[in-house]
Amino acid sequence: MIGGALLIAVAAWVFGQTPQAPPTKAPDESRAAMVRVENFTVAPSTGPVANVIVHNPAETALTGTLRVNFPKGWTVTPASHELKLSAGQTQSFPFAIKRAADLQANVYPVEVRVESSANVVVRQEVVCASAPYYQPAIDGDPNEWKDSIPITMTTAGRQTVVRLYWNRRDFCMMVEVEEDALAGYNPARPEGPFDAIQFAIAKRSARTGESPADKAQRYEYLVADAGDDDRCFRLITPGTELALARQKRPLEPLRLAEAKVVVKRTGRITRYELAIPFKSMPELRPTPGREFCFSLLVHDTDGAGLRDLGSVMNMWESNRPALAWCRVAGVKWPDRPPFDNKIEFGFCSSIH
Amino acid sequence: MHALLLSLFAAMTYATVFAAESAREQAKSPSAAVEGDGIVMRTAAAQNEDPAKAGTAAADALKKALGQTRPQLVIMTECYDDKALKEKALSAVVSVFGEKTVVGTANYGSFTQAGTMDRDAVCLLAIGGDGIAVSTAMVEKMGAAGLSMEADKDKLAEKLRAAGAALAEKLPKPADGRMMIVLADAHSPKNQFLIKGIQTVLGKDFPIVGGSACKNAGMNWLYYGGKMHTDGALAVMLAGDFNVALAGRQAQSNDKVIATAREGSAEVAGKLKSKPVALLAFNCAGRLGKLDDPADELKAIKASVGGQIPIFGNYFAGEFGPADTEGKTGALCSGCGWHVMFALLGVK
Repeated sequence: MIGGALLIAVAAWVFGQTPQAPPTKAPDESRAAMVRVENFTVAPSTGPVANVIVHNPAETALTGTLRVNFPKGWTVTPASHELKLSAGQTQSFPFAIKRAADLQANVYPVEVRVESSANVVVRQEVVCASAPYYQPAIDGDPNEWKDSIPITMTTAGRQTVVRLYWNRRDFCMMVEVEEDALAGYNPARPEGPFDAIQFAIAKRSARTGESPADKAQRYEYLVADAGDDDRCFRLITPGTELALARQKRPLEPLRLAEAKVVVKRTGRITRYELAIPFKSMPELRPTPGREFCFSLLVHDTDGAGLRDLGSVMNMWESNRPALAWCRVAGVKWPDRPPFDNKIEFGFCSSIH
Repeated sequence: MHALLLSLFAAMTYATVFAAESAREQAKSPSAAVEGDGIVMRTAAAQNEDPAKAGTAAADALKKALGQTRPQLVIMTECYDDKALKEKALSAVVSVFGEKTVVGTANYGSFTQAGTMDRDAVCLLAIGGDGIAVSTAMVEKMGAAGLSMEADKDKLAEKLRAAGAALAEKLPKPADGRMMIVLADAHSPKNQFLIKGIQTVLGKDFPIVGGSACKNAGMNWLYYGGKMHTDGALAVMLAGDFNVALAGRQAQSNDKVIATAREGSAEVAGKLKSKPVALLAFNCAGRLGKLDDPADELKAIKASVGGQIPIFGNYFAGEFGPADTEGKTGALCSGCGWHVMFALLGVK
């Protein structure tokens, strides 16, 4: 175990760790800066701004220099930012990407250096979290999704791939879940255990309240296989009291008739494909370059349990608000809440 | 299409008409009109879920504003969602002005000095008068369709440079050539190669502005000769005894988009040492996406150039013009993204 004094004196290499695991194990470690590189919200080749969030958890000011190493061959401006953060302050630092290449795997290694009295080096894998323009047929066929920007997460050895599209009419999604079996939703036994995906979408400025009396600022949905009549339930909408998130309500009255949903299983992969009209989400205004908030949970109730897209977004461990997700009967919830669903995503033009 | 410059000091009028007949219209304003000599530039725009109605409304309004002036060229942009809708918008405009007069492209939205429209709209710019000469050309089958920067960069560069050079070669090069407008199915960052090809013919110091067609799947159309084209580029050469002032600005956040629009338009207003005729703004759809209120950018522009100058602004998938970013090529203009490129035309 590295001592706290040594940490202050030499660079602390936090390799393979995300900043959601802030150095709080030893008293001195809490003095280190916490950093998070936000998702790219349009493809790197189109020159986005990469925002690096720095938090100073210490009781004294943090001064120094912030440097970021992006993948080899990229050019970014500025090369660094001067840091002057007061105790407890959080600040965003933009780096404009001038030249970059898109990677099919959609994983970009980034190294962040906080050069200060307590040097910190954090390596993160950043994704492009963006929904390109496309009008897919909602039929469970994955072939139309090759021009999406996939985000992959692995939980207990099983993969989940999330793909988004948008068009003037609909917000569209294909989620491929690797799982041993699919437990369908039975409307006659809605409390029975079933598998599902749950996602939230909101305008970019949305925040998650802490009090049950606070108003929700998100649209939240649950999608489940139900044989020939798959279901999309709308769990909460902006303006509703967050107390609703704690209530396990009957699902059938929440069914969103205008959503198109197809759930199909091929081999070990369950594919959830859906389209939700933007007319039912009036707070969202899709245009290329516009950002929004999004995240997704997979309920593999009879398998790997809960899978959280936030787990591959470099979120800080403390960012798990209790009222971020609506509780649903029939799926398993871990003791620790999932990450917040207010994660930066973007609408973009078609990628070719 | 090539008209000779007949008179340096003939009567010149300016007006802009904003037409909007649907319930979803965003703004209305009286026609702006500035009297001048020899060059007639008008804009009109209309918004309607029915593209034929929008096209007809905009074209009729433009024709009315032109009065007795026969336009040498009408540049048309539209932001409908499907090919069939785009076809109807084009047909409506062509039915008024003729297929040889209309060129244009699909985009993400547009603005005149009267308002901003980011869906279901047709926007038109007419150029006429005997103080300006207009010639146009198009190249097709550039060979760039389906190629990506990641997998095919060298091939893309080769194809688009060749297409750019071929496009420039097709146009006459009048001694009084002042500016080229390029509309292309080559989005950022591919657009850099096309303009480099053009510059092999015109030189690196010739003013070139323009935009890239909407790149959404199935929406990347150019309009030329009354027909719809993809994998092509078209150019408009403007010649005559007038001045052009250029400025470009990049931004990627709401506040900076507004600020750079104000600064860039103020820069061209300050640089132009003659009476302004019209302001052209080739803008990035990404900038539009960063705006909390799309009207704010236009307000900033009008704060710089006033409310009487006709403004023809469009949001594209890449822009041609004087980039303000690092990595300049040594040329006056380049192809890039996240910019607004201003061209302010003025007469002595």
